Amino acid sequence: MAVATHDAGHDAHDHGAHDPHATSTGLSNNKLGMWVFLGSECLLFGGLISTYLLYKNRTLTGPSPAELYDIPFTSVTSFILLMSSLTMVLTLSAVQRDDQENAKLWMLATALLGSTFLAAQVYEFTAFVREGMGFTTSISSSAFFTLTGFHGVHVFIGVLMLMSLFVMTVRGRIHSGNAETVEIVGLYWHFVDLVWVIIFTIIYLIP
Amino acid sequence: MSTETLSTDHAGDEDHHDHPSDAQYVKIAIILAVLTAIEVATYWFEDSFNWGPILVLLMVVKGIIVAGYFMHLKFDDKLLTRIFVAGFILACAVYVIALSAFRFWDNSGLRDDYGENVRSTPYVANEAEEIEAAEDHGSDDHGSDEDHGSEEE
Repeated sequence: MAVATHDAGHDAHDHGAHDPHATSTGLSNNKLGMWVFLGSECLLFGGLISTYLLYKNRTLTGPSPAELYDIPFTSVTSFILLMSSLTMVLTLSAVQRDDQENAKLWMLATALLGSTFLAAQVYEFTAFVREGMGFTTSISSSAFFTLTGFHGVHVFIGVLMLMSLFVMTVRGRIHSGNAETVEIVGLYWHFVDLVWVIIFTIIYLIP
Repeated sequence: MSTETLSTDHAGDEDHHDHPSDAQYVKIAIILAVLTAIEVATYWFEDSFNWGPILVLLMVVKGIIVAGYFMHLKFDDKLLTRIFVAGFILACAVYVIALSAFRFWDNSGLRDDYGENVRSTPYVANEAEEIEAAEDHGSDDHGSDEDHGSEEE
């Protein structure tokens, strides 16, 4: 079995025997495309995080985000999202083994954990608003809600992708032959978790 | 239904059989959970030590574990690692430069140009109302600051 290289695609034909789309890199274009996209997402979240770091102390009215954090609560939600990465990778493993039942189980578990995280975020946001920090209360609150809101939207899109995968699996359209589809969704999901690891540390934990 | 499907149809995943097993994934998740617990534990001791560098280090370690094992970068072609790391490094460089332009690292930007916008005391709920109520029920000695003759009783 040829080993993938990225030297001028000399091994493209080896992959062509298994992959109908021979590529010059020897890699799947879909997977490569997802990684390029995730690389660009680093710039998006870098900008949002930097904006919050600049404005986190700028409050004329109302509390700043740091004064309202409930670290124990957010720790639990962080753990939930972390475990969703585990269930996601177990989903891929099950699909690669053609274990349809476990694949569906882990897919649903991942979507459920992601939805739980979203619900917790909504609860946290509403609690902050009740405490006097809304989206337009101050520059720091705007930066905080924009950052965490964008992340939440990414999680929501990930949940939608997972539910689509689940429906496809139920219809028998996901199997070991096209496990790469699950892998690509998994890459997105793990990246969303990775971003939260960074947000939780920089925004919530570091004083 | 075949349960022995190996890496015959994985473009770019020829070494799929080298990927961690489910048990290994669970162990990795446990390690991540322990690291998260350590990070959270610093919250209860934040006044005793500057945990910033350690928290950043733990964050980086967790990120490497997630990217390497869960995202399979460790087992995939190095080109994918280079693409992702390039984007990550580019983002870090751009925003470190941007933060430096705003004099973020010594906070001088906030003090010199926007000092009046930074509140120096912790937020107190209904602070404004409390101050006003205290002034209303206190003495009348503050009247000289707002001495409008037509409004005096």
